Amino acid sequence: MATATNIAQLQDGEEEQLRRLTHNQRALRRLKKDYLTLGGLGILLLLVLIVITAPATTRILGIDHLTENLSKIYADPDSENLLGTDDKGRDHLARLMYGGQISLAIAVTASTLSMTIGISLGMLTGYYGGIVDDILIWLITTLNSIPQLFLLLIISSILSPSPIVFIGILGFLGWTGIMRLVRGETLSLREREYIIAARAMGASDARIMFQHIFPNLISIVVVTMAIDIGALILIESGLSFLGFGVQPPTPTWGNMLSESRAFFRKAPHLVIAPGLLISITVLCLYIIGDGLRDALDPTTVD
Amino acid sequence: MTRHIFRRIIQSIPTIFGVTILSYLIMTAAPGGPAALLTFGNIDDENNIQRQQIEERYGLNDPWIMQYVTWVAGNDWQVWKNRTIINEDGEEELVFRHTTQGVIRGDFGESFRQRRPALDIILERVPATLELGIASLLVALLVGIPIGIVAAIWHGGIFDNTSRILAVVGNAIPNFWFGLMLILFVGVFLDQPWARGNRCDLSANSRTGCGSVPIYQRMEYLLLPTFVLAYGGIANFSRFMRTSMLDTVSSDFIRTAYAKGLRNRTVWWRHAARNSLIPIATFLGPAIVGVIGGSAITEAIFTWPGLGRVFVESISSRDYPVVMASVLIASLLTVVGYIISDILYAVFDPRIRF
Amino acid sequence: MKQFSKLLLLGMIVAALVAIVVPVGAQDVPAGEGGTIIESNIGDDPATFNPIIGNDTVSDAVSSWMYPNIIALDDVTLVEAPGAPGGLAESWEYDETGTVLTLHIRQDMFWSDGEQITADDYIWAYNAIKSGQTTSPRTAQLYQLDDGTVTDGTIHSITKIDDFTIEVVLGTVDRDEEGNPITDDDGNLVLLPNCAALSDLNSIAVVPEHIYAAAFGMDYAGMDADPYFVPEGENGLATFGVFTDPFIEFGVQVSLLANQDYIDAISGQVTPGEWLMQNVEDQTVEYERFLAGDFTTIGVSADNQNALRADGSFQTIEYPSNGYTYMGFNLADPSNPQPGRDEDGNLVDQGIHPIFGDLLVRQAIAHAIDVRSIIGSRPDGDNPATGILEGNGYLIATHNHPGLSSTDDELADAGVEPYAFDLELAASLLEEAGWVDIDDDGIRECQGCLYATEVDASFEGSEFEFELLTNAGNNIREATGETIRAQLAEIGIVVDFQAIEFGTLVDELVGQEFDAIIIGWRLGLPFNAGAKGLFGVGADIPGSGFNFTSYQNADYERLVDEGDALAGCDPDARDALYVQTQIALWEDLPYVWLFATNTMIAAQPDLAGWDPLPYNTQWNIDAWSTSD
Repeated sequence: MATATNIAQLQDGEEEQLRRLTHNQRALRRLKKDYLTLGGLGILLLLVLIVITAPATTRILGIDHLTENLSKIYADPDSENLLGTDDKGRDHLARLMYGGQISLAIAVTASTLSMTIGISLGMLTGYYGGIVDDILIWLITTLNSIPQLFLLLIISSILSPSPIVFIGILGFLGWTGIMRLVRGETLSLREREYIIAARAMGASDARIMFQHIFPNLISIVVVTMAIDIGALILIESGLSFLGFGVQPPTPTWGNMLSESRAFFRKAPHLVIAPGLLISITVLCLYIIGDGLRDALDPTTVD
Repeated sequence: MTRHIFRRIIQSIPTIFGVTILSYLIMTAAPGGPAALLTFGNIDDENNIQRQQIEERYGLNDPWIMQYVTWVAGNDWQVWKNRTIINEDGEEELVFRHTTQGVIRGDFGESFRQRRPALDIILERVPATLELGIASLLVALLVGIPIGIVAAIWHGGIFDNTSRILAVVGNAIPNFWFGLMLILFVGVFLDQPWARGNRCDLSANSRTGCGSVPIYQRMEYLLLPTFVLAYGGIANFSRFMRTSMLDTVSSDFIRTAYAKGLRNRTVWWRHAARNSLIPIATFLGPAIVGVIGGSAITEAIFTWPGLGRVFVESISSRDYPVVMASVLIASLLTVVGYIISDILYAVFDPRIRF
Repeated sequence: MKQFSKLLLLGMIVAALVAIVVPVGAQDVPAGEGGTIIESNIGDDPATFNPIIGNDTVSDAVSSWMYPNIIALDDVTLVEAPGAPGGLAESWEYDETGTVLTLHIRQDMFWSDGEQITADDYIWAYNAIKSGQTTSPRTAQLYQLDDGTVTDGTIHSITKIDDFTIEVVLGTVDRDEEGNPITDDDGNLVLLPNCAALSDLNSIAVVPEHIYAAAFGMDYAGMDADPYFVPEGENGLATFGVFTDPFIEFGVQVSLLANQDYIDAISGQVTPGEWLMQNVEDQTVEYERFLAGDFTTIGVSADNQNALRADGSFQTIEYPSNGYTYMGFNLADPSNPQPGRDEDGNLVDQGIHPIFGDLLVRQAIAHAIDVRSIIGSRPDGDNPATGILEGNGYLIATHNHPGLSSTDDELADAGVEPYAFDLELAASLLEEAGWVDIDDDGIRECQGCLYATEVDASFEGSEFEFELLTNAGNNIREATGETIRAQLAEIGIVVDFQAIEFGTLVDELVGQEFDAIIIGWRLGLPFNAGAKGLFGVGADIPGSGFNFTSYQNADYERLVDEGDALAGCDPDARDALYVQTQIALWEDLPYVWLFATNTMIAAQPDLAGWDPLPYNTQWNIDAWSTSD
């Protein structure tokens, strides 16, 4: 009897895996035809590449994001400073590259942090339920009832954030959305036959969660994360505008854009570049998120 | 229905309680207490008399739990804090006991900076926030939904793709930057006084206030801030509506409608669109939250005298009572937003009965 | 805040006497029909209209239109002048001890409801402040409050002799060597005359007693509960000033209307009909809206001055700012902040800061900062502007008032020059101080530096690294900090520069746990050369007090005390003493004084009758008229 169940379960599991594989393959096929998403992905990768190679690039170009030149302020783009100089005579291109490093690092790390928290808590509560679930749901409802920007402002004003602290703030406040999604998904997966069977076979809870439930969550997580990273870049710039973001001299696209509004008459290039970079990056992330969602959506008709 | 609403309200009580504890704990942990800030620059006050007076008046030296209890339940029962002096007539007099009733008795305390009741400061800002919030929600719905429907009808077409790109672009521009550029372009370069922020013609209404001008007489002032606040919403609603439409179209009853021989347009607009609106209702709650949260930035750009701006100002000056009152009021508005969205869901979807 | 309020009070001290000297272009505009004067306000709403409890510049800007001063300042010299318009005192004299002042009050002043302004109006405000029941910031000017609290100000008592005579006992308490007050045979405190105390009298407002007493009685705390109180009785509003009848729309603007009952109006009438102060989000929007014609006058920030000057279509006045930006050092041990004096009044040894405890190091830093490049130059032909201030700033050597040169040459030029930019000298000073780059990594290490030899030998080998703070949101300070960081890196000093939120900065600052800071002071008028509030031992209290550098110099204190208490208060003799205090500060370098910016006030082209005086651009506002 037990053996029979095992075999049935095995087949069931294989079938599930097969279904998933073909599902992913189907998604990939769909994605290949989605030129908008592919374009977004391409541009984003290019931006990331430029930003990551900043130390090498700046050395080759002979520029530096820290060196000031008070006799050459607000300079228009020329052969020496390809994107001009800022109010302190620093090279704008170099600052944009280093600012991008920090902006992207903040967004990606904070998003990873909140995803990790959200996924773990979501799976745990979805799987076990009980009092922890009740408390967490109460905490989430509470956190969600305070407009997020309000909470961020209060905390940023207290901590006067360095980039690291800022990542912590964004990460620890941003997990509620993904946790809800994961919890809901786990709740429904928990009742699937193959999970029940795995449990009957004596598989440990941890094994079930990591081997059977987690793979099913990846598509949700990837989509949410792409959009989340974009949103975090925007939040960072909004907080900078209100004076509560990462503070100078650490450059981020957000505080560069926010600062540049004072120079928009003297040096429009200082306003345009960080604004464009933020918008393009977020745009790419949203398009990717959107495209992935469409591609991974099993109900989408080819 | 009534019972359901009632239940929702009861359920939100622990939430609001959590909001108060959480925000109070965070806020009072801030370095740079209000007294230090309020007295900064008073360089003659070497002995700190003013600062001590402020700290005593507002109980700022109490442990935070005591301050929280005072904030919630008032301090009129804390008799041990009374201080008596002998006044000029030789009588004993109770002085410097600033009494508060506590939030549960409707007293949100007194603003450290303006010395007025914090609740007054907040409540006089709520109309401006609601005005802008409701206007932008309406615009987002009225523009976003038709775009979504049309995009669904011609899905895969040029309109659909354009709207898809515009929707994403709309969400990708930092809205403070967008707002500032609009002010500078329309207000300064095109020289339109109504586009430089503010709620009405300030000089013409300096003795009555903008709130007293009927809203239809100052629509142009609402234009830019509403647009900035609604832009993201338009994008979201249009995409959401498109998806919802496409889902509905593939369902059985639409096929039935076609089978009945109804005209295309009738099917799309009367049957599909109406049913596609149902999921939009669930989206409304988060949208309301977004509008309230976004108000902090939009109001700052357009010098709009709303809740978000007073909140940002009071954080900078460590004006705890006002910060707490705005968090609480904003949270109440948010919770109400969620409840309304619930109710709408029931109204739109005949299958749901409470 | 008193320093600020004094400055702002100037705005209302509107001269009536010199109508001859002043070209009054608005004379042909009928009273009240000169349009609306619109000013901008980057910041919060006024917190109160009541001058007794007012605590911030914005509040003072409003209340100063509605209440007179006990002693007004001269419009040009900006020192207390008998009979100056807007002030009650028409003459005063000291007794032979120099500590009893008799003020004679003008008899021609009336509140706008017809009630005469008398000594009672001043005494009521004094009693309110002395009660200690309000959160008034002015208690610091009094010696003692009703409840016995010693606040240690200079004003000991204010008594009404008759309706138009007031007697003030004021001065510094004479103390014995242990710091205890000396009393005479009757048990009264022995006072020394204080020449600077006169300006303290203006901290106490003049309010219509007949209305305030009726509204609040003895319940002075009631004023805190009614911050927007406007004195109005049966016969209407009772104010004295160019504008009256405030209306506030919170978060939007404050409006005041012309007061045609104002007898001290320079042109004999109040020409503008209304005064508005409108909230505006930031400097960028403020400037753009001024260009678009929304505001009548604004202060133009240093980085916009060149453009406005080149434009040429606006009216402007320029003068050195009455404030300065500095880099302040923590001279004491930051890990153990202590007050300057213990409870018995003895000086406390506060230890030394590992880096800044050594004067040589401070001198080296002063020589290593190229302030000239920070100030930069204005655009000249094809050459664009340079520097952070784009040429709109002035070098300063020490704590003095750059604007004094017009009125008080001696004090303005204390005979010291700003520390010259000289990297070689800086490097050799650092080497002398025991800071050498031993491992050739470009960063200096302590090699027999003062802290290692005197305090803690394990400090030997530590890198020259410190934290430099400023407040976020002030572009010029942020830029200055970054420039200083870059410039000090040249001589092997690592500066961890951070701009932090103001509330947090205040905490770090008064907590005395910081290393170094960039911030600025705005100097009040009349200028208080002594500045014991900034450099005196008494103001060195962790958690409060503004001598957060823990500067201690007995000679400096003695000189200030002598200058303040000089018999006869001869201005030149006092200046000679204050000049020595300035030199002491310059030598000891608790701050590196960086620069004073150039103040530019601009007005719309169509504003008629605008005749600004330096530091006092609104003195004839009653004669202004605008076509809007």
